[in-house]
Amino acid sequence: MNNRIKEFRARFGLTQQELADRVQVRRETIVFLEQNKYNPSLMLAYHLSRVFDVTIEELFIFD
Amino acid sequence: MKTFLVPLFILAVLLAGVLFLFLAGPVTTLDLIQLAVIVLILAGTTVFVMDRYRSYKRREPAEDEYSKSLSQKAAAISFYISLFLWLAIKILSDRFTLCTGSWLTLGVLAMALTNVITWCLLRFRGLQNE
Repeated sequence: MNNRIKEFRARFGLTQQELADRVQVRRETIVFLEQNKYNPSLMLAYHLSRVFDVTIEELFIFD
Repeated sequence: MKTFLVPLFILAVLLAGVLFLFLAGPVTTLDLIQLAVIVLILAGTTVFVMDRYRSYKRREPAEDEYSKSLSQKAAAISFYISLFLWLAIKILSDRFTLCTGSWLTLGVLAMALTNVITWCLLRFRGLQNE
């Protein structure tokens, strides 16, 4: 599964730390998510999609 | 100030261990192996503690879903490896003469080391599709 977190984060002008603070996770979790080294839980995926105001399908690309 | 306290404490424990080892009597190869393993575990613990301290300074949660998954996966893999480790120790104990306490100490230290190494490898590799 790939994601567009880095692209949306850049579009919203957020740093990794700011995004991590908004979804209540550690910065390293955002780092691993952006590197596609971790698949988030449904809850975290939902919170991330809420931050960027998109659907989960738009943020995460299922292969 | 607090930044220096954790490494200082770890250094003090390490120095106390080394002093105890060398003052207790002649140093054997087994003593040196145990010391090496303790040093490795302390190094791993230092990385872990500093990581947590950085999170504290950034006002991040100490644990989140990724770090919990990482710990759980590392524990699961190291438990599986430990089963074979104890089997190897059982085989070795039939061939080499050591007191039971030494074998147990070696086993426990090896288990701890396995956990630290597994955690570090998983952290480097990530948890893809798991």
